[in-house]
Amino acid sequence: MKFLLFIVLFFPLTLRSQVVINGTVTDTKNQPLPGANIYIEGTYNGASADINGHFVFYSALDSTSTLVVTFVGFEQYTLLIKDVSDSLYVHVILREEIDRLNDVVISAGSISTGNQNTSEILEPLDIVTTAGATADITGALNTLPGTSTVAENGRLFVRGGSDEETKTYIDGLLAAEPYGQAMPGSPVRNRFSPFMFTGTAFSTGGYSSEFGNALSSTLDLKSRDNISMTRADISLMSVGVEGTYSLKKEKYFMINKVFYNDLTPYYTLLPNKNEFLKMPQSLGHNFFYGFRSKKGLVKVFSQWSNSNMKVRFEDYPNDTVFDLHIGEKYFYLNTNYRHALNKKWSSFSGMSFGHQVNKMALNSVDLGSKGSDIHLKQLFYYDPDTYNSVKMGVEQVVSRKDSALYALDNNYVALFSEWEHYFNKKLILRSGIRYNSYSNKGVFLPRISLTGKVTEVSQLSFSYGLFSQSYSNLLFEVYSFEAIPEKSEHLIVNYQYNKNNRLFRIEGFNKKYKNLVYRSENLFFNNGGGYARGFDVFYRDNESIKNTDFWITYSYLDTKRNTRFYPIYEVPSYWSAHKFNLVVKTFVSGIKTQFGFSTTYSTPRYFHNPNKTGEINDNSNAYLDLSLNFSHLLKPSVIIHGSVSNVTGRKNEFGYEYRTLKNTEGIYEGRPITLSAPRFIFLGVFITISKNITANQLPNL
Amino acid sequence: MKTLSILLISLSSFWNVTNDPYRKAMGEAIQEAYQVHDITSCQLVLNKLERIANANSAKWEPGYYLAYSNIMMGAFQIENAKKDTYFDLSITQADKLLASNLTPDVRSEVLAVKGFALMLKLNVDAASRGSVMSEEIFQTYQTALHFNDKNPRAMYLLASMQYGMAQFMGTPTEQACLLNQKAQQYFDAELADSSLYPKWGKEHSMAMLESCK
Repeated sequence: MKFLLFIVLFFPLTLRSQVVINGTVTDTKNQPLPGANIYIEGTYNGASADINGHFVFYSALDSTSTLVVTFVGFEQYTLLIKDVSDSLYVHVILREEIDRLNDVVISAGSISTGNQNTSEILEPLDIVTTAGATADITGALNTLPGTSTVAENGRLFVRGGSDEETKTYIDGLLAAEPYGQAMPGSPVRNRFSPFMFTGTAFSTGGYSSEFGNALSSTLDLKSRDNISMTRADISLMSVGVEGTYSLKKEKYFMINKVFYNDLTPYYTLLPNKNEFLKMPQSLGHNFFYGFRSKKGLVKVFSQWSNSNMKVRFEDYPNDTVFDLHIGEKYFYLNTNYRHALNKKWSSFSGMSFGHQVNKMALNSVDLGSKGSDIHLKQLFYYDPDTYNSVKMGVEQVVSRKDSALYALDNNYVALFSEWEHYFNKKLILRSGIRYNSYSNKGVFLPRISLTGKVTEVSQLSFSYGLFSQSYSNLLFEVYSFEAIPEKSEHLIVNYQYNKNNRLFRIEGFNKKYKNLVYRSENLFFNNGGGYARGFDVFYRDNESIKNTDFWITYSYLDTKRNTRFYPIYEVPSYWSAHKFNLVVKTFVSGIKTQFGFSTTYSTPRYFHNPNKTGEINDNSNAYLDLSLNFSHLLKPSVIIHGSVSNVTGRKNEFGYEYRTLKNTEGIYEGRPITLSAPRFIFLGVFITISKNITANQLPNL
Repeated sequence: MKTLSILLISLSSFWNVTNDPYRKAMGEAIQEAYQVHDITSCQLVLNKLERIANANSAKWEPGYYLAYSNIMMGAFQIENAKKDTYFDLSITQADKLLASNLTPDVRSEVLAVKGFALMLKLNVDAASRGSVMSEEIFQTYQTALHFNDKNPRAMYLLASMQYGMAQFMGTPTEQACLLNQKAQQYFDAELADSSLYPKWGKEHSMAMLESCK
């Protein structure tokens, strides 16, 4: 009986004999990897490598047995054991796994924000807690290296390039009109709320082959992949009210936001140079939806807004006064789908559509226009292993602007491909080619970047590439002029040191322009050129001073070009040679308040003075701004936020404007161009309603 | 012959209960997981759990204790980047489990361990991650309690988050302490049996009781 039981219960275990498996696990430099896990797949039989990388264990083997070796930070190793004897010896060499977020990353020309990458320059929160930025994405980016301060305009001017040389994208899809409208003497704001995005990829040059039709720079806003909870947010502000409802379900999330801005109370209390006939008002809606399937993610983002204002506008050069109506209707839709086709292939399909109706009128003369932009994009990604990644795609952009006087088209189709190769954890090469086909010419645009780690905490990055942009203009229609694409060539060298929450970065650049369009005595030419060269220094530190985070930026820029209305090489009117920024944020825990301080200094800008000879022949005063803000946690779910720009009320000048006719003394009278109000004051209360009583809008402020 | 068959079946069942290789291996691994004291011992447990997980892909316990042990491994690390690596591994492991079919009680446990990993990841850089991550952590614990309102680990961890927030805000910690006391009752009710079900957290909860005094 006992014997029978023994046979029944133990027979299967004695069928196969045990083999001794031993060996060593090392990395590619023959260094032992203690702690590596070695086992036979599908069994419990295995061992851990000792301090010398040695291991030994016993297991029954057959011709289908597979040896598996794993270790954190290294690629998995597998070996099908074909020849089984009574012992097996293996020397396993593990290859390091590339962590694309935290190992060497291309930094030349790249300023990304987000909380995924350890080498991020800014985090999403910084966009809205930077004093002077007043929760404007562009405002925060303007404190970074590579940008010029053009405070009366508010747009991004990057390394000598005009604002039209920077293109804005959302999830890689074009947002052709990223700025809202502003009244005379006020900067525009980026119309997209930072609340909708988890990060940005801001490139000051040398950017990926995926992007085109921009001579200087791209800004790609990354929308959220998820939200953490269902909640409602209410914002009561000195400029208006906002209500947001965020719904989270297991497979999808949805955000609906309604905003109404009315500056009547603000301008009733605070002076402004403009005489308002109708105070600025706007109404808008944001919708964001995300649906996650097993292998993909669908996102739909839309924004609608309608704004109006009317001011008595002084046309100083012509010495007249108009009633100027400024308004627009805007709609934007962005929808995209990311899909994992299999373990190595994935795809991205996206479409964006923007439609803007500009309702401008001078007295009762309609100067309005409307424009539409469609962007279609299809991308495929191939990741054969962690060392290689290939991206290829095709895109089409169709843009049209119409008014009573003109119709302008600006279309292109592009094909692109890019390969990223990690030689090891310390050296990465990215090479790409883009073919941009415009209506009258196709251009090949090769681009290459190489980045290598100098030490564990520092790296050197180099980037080179060709870029193009088409330029269409009302006058081309009149003069039957067909312009070929304008081109630029970027060369960037970057050094970055990042250790213990301290980041130092210096970047030199040389940008050359060619095929620029310019006008001379009613004739157009397409052979204008120019250059922009200089360097930026950036230092950020949130370690040295307790509860305090600060960054310092210095930019030097030397640029000249003949373009648009300058038939000879001149400095652009938005250029200043030196720019300095200091941003400080400190949290005072005793009073649960974060204070922010920022200052910007730019050397004088240059302009044309008709009373002197030459083209760009005079300069304004230097620009200096000092801004403050605070965020106070009144209750866990209630925040009070306030900010003041240009606290000192300094009268900054942005050039001069002159009468078109001489006065009785034979001179053109002039006056400085200044902002319509010396400072902007913002006050708001932000309330969150959710099941979690501690949730608040701090991450959004 | 009939007697012999009954005897064989009975003995076979007994064998399965007491000597099932999976339960035996997991039981040992869990005991070791609760007793790790340094990186080396933690690595050995992680390796053992990985082997068990590899051989039993349909079971939730190996993945759960891998998530738990990766948290321990992260806690033993000195460099912040390495801490992040292990906490991220833990979160990934938990997310993998959450994407599968789980009973409400088990889902609750997995969410609690994920919240724990997120909480320690927040602590790596509390100044910049605090405001961004705390909402997700609260939400994770609350969802855990939604699936099992008697889960002492989710309850204690939520209490500790509330305690920290109350201290930060300068508001009374009473509510957090009461929640922790409630968690203690459920910890006490947990059976000291040999099941593979999670049993960690009681000591930390008791330490919080001391802080609440």
